[in-house]
Amino acid sequence: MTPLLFILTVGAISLLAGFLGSLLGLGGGLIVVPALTLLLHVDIRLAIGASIVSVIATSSGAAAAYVRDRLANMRVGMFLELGTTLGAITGAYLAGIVQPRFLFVLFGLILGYSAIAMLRGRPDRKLEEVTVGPWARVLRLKDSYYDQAADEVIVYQPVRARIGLGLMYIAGTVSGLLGIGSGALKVPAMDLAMELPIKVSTATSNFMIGVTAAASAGVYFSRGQIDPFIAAPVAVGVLAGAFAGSHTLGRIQSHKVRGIFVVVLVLIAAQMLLRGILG
Amino acid sequence: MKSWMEFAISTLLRVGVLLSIGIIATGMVVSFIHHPDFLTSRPALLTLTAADTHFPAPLARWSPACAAAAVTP
Repeated sequence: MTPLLFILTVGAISLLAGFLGSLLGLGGGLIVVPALTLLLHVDIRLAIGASIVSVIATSSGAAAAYVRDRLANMRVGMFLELGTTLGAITGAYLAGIVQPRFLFVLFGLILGYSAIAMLRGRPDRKLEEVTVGPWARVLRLKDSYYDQAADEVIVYQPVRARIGLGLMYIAGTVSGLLGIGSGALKVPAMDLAMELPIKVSTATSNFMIGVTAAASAGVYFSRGQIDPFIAAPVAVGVLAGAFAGSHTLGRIQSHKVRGIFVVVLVLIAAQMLLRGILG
Repeated sequence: MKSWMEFAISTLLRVGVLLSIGIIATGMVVSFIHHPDFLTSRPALLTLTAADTHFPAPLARWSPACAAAAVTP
């Protein structure tokens, strides 16, 4: 393969990764890493470095539109980011003490359960029926957005902010321990525990993952794990894909977003279980 | 969150994204102008994507502080 063909192939794969990532609140590493290592025979360390770039690119590309359209709830995002960051630090300290294989199996099972719970959905409560906790009230987490697909303004009230913060701490710890993006844990936590609309959950997750990834990108760069020849087409492809994805999310119906997310969640759960069992 | 704040953050992100794409695309074009063999040569790719021979620790060359921070994997 010539370098030109390599760049075009990586760009095309990254385009798909950015599109799906921006739609589902995931970083795109799920597609980028296997494609680079298995299809293009790139060293795993460089592929992981490129994956970090793809997370930042997905987040930056999509967040511009999501913040403008109020799909990303920035108050919720910044509040939950406290838990994720603290968790990531804890995870970094715990790395080496806890057996990764055990964690892969445990979180594979948790993700599997989350997929089933998300598939079932949660009861559709009216705004008046929602009991607002003190944290959600003080932090003024209530917000609204215009749903293009439903052609209406959706007003929502996040609940159980403390539980959400705790779950984000766990998500951050897992991210730090296993070196995986925590979007797959963040979205179910916001959807199931905090009762955010699925589109707001994925958009807010998108906003958050870039902040976490940007912190670790410096470390990867200083180690020489970010090869510009691989990272450049990944960044351009993912940015273009994320731009397209961020303009699609508003137009598709919420139950379809949920359906696609569940399928991807099952795939991630299966991947984690396999890694845990096979080692 | 006030709407002007959302507009400002959104605009900042948008400008940053466009600037990044511009810089990356320019870099890629310059690379191909300087190395026309990249268009046709197959062995060149192995050198460009090899983990051990390429781009070992870029920050370490620029600053001693970064060299101290650079940790070998």
